[in-house]
Amino acid sequence: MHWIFFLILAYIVVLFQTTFGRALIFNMPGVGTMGPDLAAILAVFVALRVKSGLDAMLAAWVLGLGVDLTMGGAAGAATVVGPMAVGYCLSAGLVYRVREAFFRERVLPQIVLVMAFCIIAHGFWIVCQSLLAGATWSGFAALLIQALGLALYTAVLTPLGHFALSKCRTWFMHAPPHRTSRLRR
Amino acid sequence: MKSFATKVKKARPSGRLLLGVCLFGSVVTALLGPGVAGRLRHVGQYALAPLGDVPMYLAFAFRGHTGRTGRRLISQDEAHRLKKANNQLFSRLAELEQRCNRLRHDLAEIQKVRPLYGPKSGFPCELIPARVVTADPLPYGWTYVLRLPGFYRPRPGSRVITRLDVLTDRTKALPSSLAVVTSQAMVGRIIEAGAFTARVQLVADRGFRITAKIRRVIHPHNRRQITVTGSGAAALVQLRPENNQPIDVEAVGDGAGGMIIHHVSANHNVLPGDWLVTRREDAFLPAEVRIGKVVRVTDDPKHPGLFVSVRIQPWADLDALREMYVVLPLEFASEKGTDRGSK
Repeated sequence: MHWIFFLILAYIVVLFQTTFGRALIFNMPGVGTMGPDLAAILAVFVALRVKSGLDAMLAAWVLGLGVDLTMGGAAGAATVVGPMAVGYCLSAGLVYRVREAFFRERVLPQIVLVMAFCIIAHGFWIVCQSLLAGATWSGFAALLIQALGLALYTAVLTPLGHFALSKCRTWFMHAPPHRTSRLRR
Repeated sequence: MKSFATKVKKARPSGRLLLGVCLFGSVVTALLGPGVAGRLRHVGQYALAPLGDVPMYLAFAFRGHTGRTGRRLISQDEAHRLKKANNQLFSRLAELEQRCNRLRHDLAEIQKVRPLYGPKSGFPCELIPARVVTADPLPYGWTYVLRLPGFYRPRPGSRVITRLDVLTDRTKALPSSLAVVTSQAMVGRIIEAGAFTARVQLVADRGFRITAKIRRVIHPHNRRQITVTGSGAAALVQLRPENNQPIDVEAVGDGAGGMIIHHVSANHNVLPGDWLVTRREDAFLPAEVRIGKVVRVTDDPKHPGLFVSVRIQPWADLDALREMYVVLPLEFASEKGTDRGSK
């Protein structure tokens, strides 16, 4: 990993998500607001292509922290910083472990993995926020449904995101890795 | 030289250690709660705010162009009726403009002596202009980060209202602060604040909660009856200006672009079109400012016939909101450390 360039890219993605990402949000009656998680697309892209599992988890942690630091309101109370970073990190580790079973250049596996990533990371985040931020449990189910919608929306945008990222992959990643099934340094 | 490089390599933390420290830090900050999170977020806002202006402008321009989702289109009959009414208003406007010119001359004379005799009036608040630089990255919350001028540091809880751009030609240019107060809508409150930036929680956020009033609109073509329970039996009476008392309610954000009010007595007969307004007793916004409009009234499933739930649509289009005012009551402004105290 070229960490400096990755950090710049992460900054750009978070900036894009907190500004122009607002234009991608829409209201779905009965469910709530729907919007994509662009940082998750980058996290899965890195987890599918990086040489080491630690690099995948560290990159995801950085992205999760970026989302955590820019996320103000949500589960009925002011949110805490940390759960999204942990959720991203764990999800990226999981994606790294199972990536051998998928053809990473194909669209369908990318969609499935991004969806799984979002469901796990956001599910973890919602549970943590509901426990730690003093939120009420009344909206818990609504938030989970919203997370499912978000995962679907993000999955739909995944091919586009992966296509764009593959064009600039060499800026922040080394040559494509050889396949391995174990976490290595 | 080689030994130095080896020492540096040995001293460098391993990836596992770094990951462990990162995860441990995340768990600690999560356990420390929202107070610490607010301070950390403020640091993050400094990183994003300088570059957030242009993309946020583009996003709002896009949202403003597409308009509020789900807006109802008017029928052809309604369009004809509106056009006719519009023509009548145009002719009326021409008459009024003539009168206005005459009055303007008189007004100029009166303005010279008015400050000497007039009552001390005005909006008892200072309005701090602010601009949205970033928004929530995920759709769970409805918060914006505002860029504030200079070292203003509003209190958490401060109300935020819309800014109105009045487009006039040069001959009709208005003072910048003339029309804004009467045409405002409250859009949220400050939840985290520091120098230069603050985070506003919009009225649609799930965590937003406000004690407000419902003002029932009396329409001449659509009269309504309310149930009055005095000393005797309950009686149905027609709603008139004399008995149209505002209804105290607690409104909460629904997380889906609107607000909801539970447990409103069915006796009040709240109808779509009524207004939700702030209370004058509110310490942070001592004025009656619109928040939203009632769009749907449904029976409370637990108490059918007795209570209703009221859905509110915010007055301001929250998706295309870019310029705002943070309201700073003058009594707070005089206190040390509220606004410019951190300079």
